[in-house]
Amino acid sequence: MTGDVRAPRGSDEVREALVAAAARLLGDAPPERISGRRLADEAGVNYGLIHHYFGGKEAVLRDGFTRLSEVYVAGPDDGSWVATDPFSMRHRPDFLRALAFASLSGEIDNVHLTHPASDVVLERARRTRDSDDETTIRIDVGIATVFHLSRCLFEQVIEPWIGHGDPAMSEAVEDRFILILRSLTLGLDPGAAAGGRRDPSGGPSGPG
Amino acid sequence: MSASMADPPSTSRDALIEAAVNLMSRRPPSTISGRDLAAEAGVNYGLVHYYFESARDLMVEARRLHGAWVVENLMDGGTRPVDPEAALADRRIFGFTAHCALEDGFWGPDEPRPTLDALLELVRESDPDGDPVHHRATVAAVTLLLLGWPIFVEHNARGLGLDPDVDGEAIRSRFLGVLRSLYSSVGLEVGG
Repeated sequence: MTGDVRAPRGSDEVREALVAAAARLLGDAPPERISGRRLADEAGVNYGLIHHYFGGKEAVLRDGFTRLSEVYVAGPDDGSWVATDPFSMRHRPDFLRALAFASLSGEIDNVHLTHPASDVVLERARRTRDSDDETTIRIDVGIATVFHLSRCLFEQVIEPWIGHGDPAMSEAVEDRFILILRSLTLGLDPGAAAGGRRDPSGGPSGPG
Repeated sequence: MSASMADPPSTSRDALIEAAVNLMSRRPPSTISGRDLAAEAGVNYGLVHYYFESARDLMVEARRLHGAWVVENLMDGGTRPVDPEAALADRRIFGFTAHCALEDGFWGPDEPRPTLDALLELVRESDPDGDPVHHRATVAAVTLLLLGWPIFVEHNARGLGLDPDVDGEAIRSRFLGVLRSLYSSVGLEVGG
């Protein structure tokens, strides 16, 4: 790395530095353990500027969350994946952990915890399930999202056990996970999906 | 559910382990101090360091013992799967695991996972001629859903325009239906 990194100056740079710092720290620790001083240190700015520009660390953390969410939705520059891909959150472990920590602590306003790709998934589900009621569709998408987030968050817990040194098994089970995820969104039978059944899209069959 | 890690806690050491399980099921280990643990256990703070190197050491020990405890007490020694309703109600089962998994260094890749092994064994007994991929996918999917419940459900509900107070029962019911469907696909019947 060449050149010296000078401290952020001017309102835009300071705000940006604080929001970027929040985005980094939120993936490491629960919000209640991120103090204003830690934020300021991470951003390389004077602690008093948090209150000056944001009114308090909570506002910085909320913006940090929004930043994480935006980065996730935008996807990578090379377009190698998009947020609506199955288990796309595995590419953004920082956002995923931030969601988990914040959800547990209840410290971040719930509005900001909306899974960003949910709207798209909901819309797709509605189109396929036009005879199902809205609440049921939302619940199913919610459960599918739990599966998505959990699969990504607990990869280290589950993956070594699944693979057990057998990459073919890992791949085969991953394929089933994708089928299960799809079945959850569409309100189809996840047990059948686990068994490898691939329902055609728009199938009228219900769960069980 | 009243099964405890040591029934009843016969020493302060047991009480501390039990306290660790209780607290770690409610929040991540990094937010739990030695004093929190001592208070929860009802013992003198000095005993934390008497029995363990540190608060973290105590919590790592609790995690190490937890899987076997779940199998013993909540799977009847591995003869039945954890009841999904009990799993949703008792955070000491999956809430505990979820919080540990969020922290670095709490879960090594080579460490045994007794609950997963026990569940797989049950599945194999129930569906002996079944597809091993199906078996592992089912065990993993059930576990992942149960791990995700204490962390994500409320957040997802509101984010999707649902109200936990109004729709909570429907959400829970649907979730249990999903778990039952997964279990029954490998021949395991659970719950009422």
